[in-house]
Amino acid sequence: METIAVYWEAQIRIYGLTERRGLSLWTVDFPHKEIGSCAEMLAELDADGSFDLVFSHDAGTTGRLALVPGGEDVSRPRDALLWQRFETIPGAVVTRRYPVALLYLHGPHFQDRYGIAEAALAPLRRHDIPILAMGCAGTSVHLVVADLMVERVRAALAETFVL
Amino acid sequence: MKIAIGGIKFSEELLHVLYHRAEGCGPAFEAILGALAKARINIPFLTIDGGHGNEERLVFCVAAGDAGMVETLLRQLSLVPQQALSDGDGLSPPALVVRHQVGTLTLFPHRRSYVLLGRSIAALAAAGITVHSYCTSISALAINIDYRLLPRAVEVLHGLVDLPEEHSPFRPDFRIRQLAPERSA
Repeated sequence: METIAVYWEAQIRIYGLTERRGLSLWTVDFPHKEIGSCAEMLAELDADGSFDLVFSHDAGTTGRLALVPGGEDVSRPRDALLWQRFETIPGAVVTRRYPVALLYLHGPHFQDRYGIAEAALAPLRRHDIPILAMGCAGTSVHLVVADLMVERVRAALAETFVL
Repeated sequence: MKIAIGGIKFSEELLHVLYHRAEGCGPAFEAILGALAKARINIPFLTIDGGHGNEERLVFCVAAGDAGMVETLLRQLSLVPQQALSDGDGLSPPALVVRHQVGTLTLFPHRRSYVLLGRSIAALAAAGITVHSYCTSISALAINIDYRLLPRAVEVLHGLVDLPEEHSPFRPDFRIRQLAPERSA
C-alpha cells in the first residue's frame, strides 16, 4: 500500500525547535575493528549520564564517532571520565569541542519527504555558519554549532522553516 | 537483564553513500543535497561531521529505487565512487564510497540511554554484522547494515531486548511518497 502526500507550504512547518547550549561535542576516530569495544565503552557510560546525539560511520579501516552528551553531563569530572574511557579504545584519537549548541527540529513525516536536509543545511551555508555536526534520522534534524552561533542559526533557519 | 523497548522496524532497501571532503576540494554538501531535492529524492538518513577543520564527511541513504538517479547526479557533480575502503589503507579525500543493498534497523525508544545504544552495536559487531553507520533521532536509534542481514540482526538483538507481545511486522506494509504540489496557473 502506498500513501501519497502533497505539502502545500511556502515554508516548511515543524512541530518545534529546541536548543540546548553549553554542551560538548566529542569526536573519536578509531580503527573500525574496534567498533565493538567502542560501543561497549558507551554502554558502560549509562550509570553516568545520557546522550543528546550520537552518530558513527565506517570509513573502511577507520570509524568515527560523534557524541553530544546530555546537558546535565557537562562538568569537569564528567569530561575527565569521558577522556579516560575513550582513551581505553586501542588506537583512538579523541577531540572535544566546547561550548557547542545543539538545535533540533522535528516535523511531520520528515523521514518520508524530500528536501528537508537541504532546507536545514543550505541557509546555514549561505550565511557562512560552520556546521560542526548534523544528524537526520526519523522525524528529526539535529544541528551542532558553536555556542555563539545560535542566534544566527535561528535567523538562518527561519528562511526555510516556520519557527 | 533484557532491555524493554517499544519496537524494531526495517527500512526498505537503501543505497548508502559516504562522501569525504577536505580542503574545499570536491562539490560542497549543499550542492549534493540541492541536486537530490531538485530531483525529489528523499533522504531518510543523513549525518554530517564537520568539526575537523577543513575536513568534513557526509553520509546519507536513499531508497534503492533512486540509486540510479543518485549515481547519475553524483557523476554530474564529478563524483565517481571508489572501491570499498576496506580494500585500502584509508580515505584520501575527496572520496566517495557507495554501498548498495543496505537497510536501516530502527530500535525505539532509546530513552537517551547509552545501554541500548552501546550493547546493540556491540552485539551486532560481535555477531560479525558490519555496522556501516548509525545515528540517534529524538527517540530512535537507526543502524545501517547490509539489507540481507536485517533478520539476522533481529535474532542477535533478541538476546538483548524485550519486544512487546503484539509487535507489528518488522517490514513496513505501506510506504509514504511525497509528490510536488501542482503549480497554480
